Amino acid sequence: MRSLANRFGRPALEWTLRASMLLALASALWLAIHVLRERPAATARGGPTAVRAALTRWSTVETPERVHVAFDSVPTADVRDWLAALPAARTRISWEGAALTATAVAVEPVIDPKRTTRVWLAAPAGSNAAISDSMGLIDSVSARNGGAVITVGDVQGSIRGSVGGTTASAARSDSISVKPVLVFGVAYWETKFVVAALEEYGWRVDARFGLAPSGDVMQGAVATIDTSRYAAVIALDSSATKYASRIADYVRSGGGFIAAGDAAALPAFAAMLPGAAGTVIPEKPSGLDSIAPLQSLALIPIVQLKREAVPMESANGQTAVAAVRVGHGRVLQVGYLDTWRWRMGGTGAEAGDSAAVADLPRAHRSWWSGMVSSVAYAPHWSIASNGVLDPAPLATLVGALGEAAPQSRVRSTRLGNPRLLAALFVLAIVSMLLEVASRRLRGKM
Amino acid sequence: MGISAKNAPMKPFTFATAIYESGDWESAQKLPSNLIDSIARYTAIPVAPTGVNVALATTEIFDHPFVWLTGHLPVRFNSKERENLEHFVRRGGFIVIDDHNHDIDGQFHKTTHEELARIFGATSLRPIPKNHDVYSCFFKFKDGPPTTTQELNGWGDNLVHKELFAVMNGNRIGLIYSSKDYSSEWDFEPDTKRFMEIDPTRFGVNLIVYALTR
Repeated sequence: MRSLANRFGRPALEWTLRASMLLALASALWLAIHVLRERPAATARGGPTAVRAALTRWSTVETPERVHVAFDSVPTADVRDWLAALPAARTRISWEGAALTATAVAVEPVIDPKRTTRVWLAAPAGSNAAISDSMGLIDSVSARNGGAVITVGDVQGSIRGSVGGTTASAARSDSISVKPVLVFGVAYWETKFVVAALEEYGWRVDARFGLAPSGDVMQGAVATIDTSRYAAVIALDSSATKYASRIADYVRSGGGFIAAGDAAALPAFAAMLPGAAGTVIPEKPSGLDSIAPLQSLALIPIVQLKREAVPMESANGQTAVAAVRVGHGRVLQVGYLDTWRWRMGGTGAEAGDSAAVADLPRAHRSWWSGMVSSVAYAPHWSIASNGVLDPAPLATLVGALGEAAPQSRVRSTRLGNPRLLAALFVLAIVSMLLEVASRRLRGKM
Repeated sequence: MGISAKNAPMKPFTFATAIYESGDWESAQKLPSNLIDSIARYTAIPVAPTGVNVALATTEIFDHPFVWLTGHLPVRFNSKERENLEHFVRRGGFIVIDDHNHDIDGQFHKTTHEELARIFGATSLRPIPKNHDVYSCFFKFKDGPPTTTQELNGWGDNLVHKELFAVMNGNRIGLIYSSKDYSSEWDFEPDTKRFMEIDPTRFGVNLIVYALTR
């Protein structure tokens, strides 16, 4: 007598095994067709030449489903753009480049007669960077705190910053016109040495010296005080008082003004200045024979700073230099008296650093030039840049291709997995064998 | 008690005469007061009523960017004087060295030239062209340096020197060397000027104005 299991269970199991076999065979057939139709994946490794050759292949004779590129240097802009265009041809991209150096470069004009361009370079701390223009190497710097800043003279073409194997390039997008500086002062050492310092640095200077009872002596052709003529006006003493209203108009229209020494205490300029003049602190005579004589100069400290004023320098706990915006212009109040004493200085016997003391004229002229640069008016205009610029190549690469991912982490589709086809085939065989075995055991053929 | 900045007096120009170890640096004692008188007489430059004597070998020299140096005797600077003179000129000071002998064959002239060559180089002393600022920065001297009575009287080397010589610091004069003997020409009581048709110290005013403005 046939059991209930043989009567009802076995045929059901056999039908299930037959269905499983057919399903596995159908899936394997579908998968085989899919795999046959799938395009291959491709990989490229190395530098620009290898990647460019692979790109040529992938764009002509091959049309890979996916490409993976392992860069050993940041690709040039054309290679990067070429890669970024591949997804439009149904080729997926992944990339990696663990050794690539992140760097970026930016260039801006500086209101300075000699050092007209400031270059900002971002680079890993401790890395060595080479900065060059189209004429060749300009400078080599060691990056600290995330980069380096250098100020250079005229540059030719674009600026390139190279760190490791990465080169970033940028160009000035605007230019400035550095106009002369007008100096008012009596014929005395301070006026002489301020004019000399600025001229030696490279500024063009018109000066008006209060000198003779019959009138002033002029150096250069002193012109109307307006922003079309002068980058800045410097008043060193009361000889500028009679021009106070014209200077005020000049500042409101964008000009730069420095009231230094005695002029910083004149009521005629008080409304424009960042603060009031305090009580004179006398010079420290012994300090002038040192390498930091600026701190030893006589000082009219700047007190009662206006709310919008910015202290720029201090000496012995007192504000020595402060700045404020007035209208469209900028005003600097300099409390140091007789800065020429800094330049003439001493022998450096106390400091024991003859080289530093010998450099006093250079320090004096750089300081005064910096003061003028900080307030100077200079009209900007845009300049067209030629050539392809790549200010931040690695950042642009990430922006164009997405985050880097090692090839091992790039996910492949399950359908492309050859084990799946084998598993389906095994499933079909096993189902068939079990179904045949079941029928034979029941005595059926 | 401090000085109010608004009432701070303007500092005056102080005439300085250089003291050097060798020679007779004090040989023209009336010259400072005479030039001080001229500065006060012709210009609005605040000027100290008396001059000072500053030793070339001390840092005091750097307090006075205008210095007059003269003498008759051989000049041999010591090492400190040489060092200070070089720094003085390179930092922007202005020194006039005047041969009180008015004699290019004299010891002052020869030894001073040797010293200047040693400090600034053999070719550093160059003639000043007649159209230079120093001849026009206040009074106009279209023929260059004014002639002195010593030259016209045939004293010293019996020459009328056509030009002055300078050591340049950039495009500015740092040192003037004169064989014209202004130290004799201007070594008189200032009051005497009222008897003169043309004040001979006017060129001295130019030297000081140039030093203060260029």
